[in-house]
Amino acid sequence: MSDIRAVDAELFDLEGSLAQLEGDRDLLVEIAGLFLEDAPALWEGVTRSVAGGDPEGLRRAAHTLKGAAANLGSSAVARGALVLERIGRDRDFGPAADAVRRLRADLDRLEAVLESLVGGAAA
Amino acid sequence: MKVLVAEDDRIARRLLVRHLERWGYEVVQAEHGREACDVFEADDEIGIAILDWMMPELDGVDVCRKLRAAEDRRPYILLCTARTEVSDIVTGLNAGADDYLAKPIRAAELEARLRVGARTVGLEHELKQRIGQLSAALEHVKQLQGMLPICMHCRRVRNSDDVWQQIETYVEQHADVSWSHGLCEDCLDEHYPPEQQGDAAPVKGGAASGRSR
Repeated sequence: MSDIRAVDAELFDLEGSLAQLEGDRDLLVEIAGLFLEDAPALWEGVTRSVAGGDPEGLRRAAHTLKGAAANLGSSAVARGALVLERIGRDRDFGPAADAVRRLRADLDRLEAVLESLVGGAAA
Repeated sequence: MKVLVAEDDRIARRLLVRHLERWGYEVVQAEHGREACDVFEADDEIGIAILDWMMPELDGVDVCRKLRAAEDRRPYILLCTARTEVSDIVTGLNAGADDYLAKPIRAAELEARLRVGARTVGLEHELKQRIGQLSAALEHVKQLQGMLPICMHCRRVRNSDDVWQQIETYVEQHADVSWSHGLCEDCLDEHYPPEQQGDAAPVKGGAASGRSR
């Protein structure tokens, strides 16, 4: 768990999330597991909407991903998803490719941290 | 207190349910707006509804309007939203929400707002019970009010149909009162002087001249 504590709090605020859950580490592990299960489908929704030029689909998919990340305590991923939600709302796909790339990078880092959290709890 | 949680994001829903159960609330869940309406309709014990704004099928604002359309029930509605523009809040409240919660939801704020909701629901329930009791009591009370003309000689009274009737009849028709006739001591002495009293004379000090049931 020590490596998770060292993670940038913007990417994953372990202490803040635990405080929100009144110190319930089992619940944190449970919702981290839910996020890992849901993230691929949410990401697929974002990329499919960008590829298909579907602003409403992008707005919804990015909104859901943003909510999941915010509930988990990842400001970085929530912020990246918000950028894409606004792209969908504004129907301006110009900055979409760059936003998708940045979000993917943060999502990769977050998923690695969460896998470590879930794996550590299981071990 | 039973709480309906309508939230399509299962992480948010899981968190809400865990918090609510920890605070002693009974929870029922819905994954989208239409299901929220169905669950609400099927369970009349739901006192508080926590609705996410953005949900598939029906969004939280539409669900609000539908729940408010039910005349016989009035749940306390908390609308959860990341939309915190004043115009959004006004839209939510105008749709019938009692309060709103900014997402991501903070446990302490949720607990405090739920306490307000539970207090409101409790007061409304108490008020409804009192009104029910008062209505039941009113059904047993007949009206007896206004100016009543009474004949200065025979003591009959004139009712609203201009008919003169015995005061006992009139009162029985307008109040929850029945009569039991007796004789006061003065009248007994006046109408039945001791020298005329035989075995058939009325008993002195009979029943009261008017009595509530």
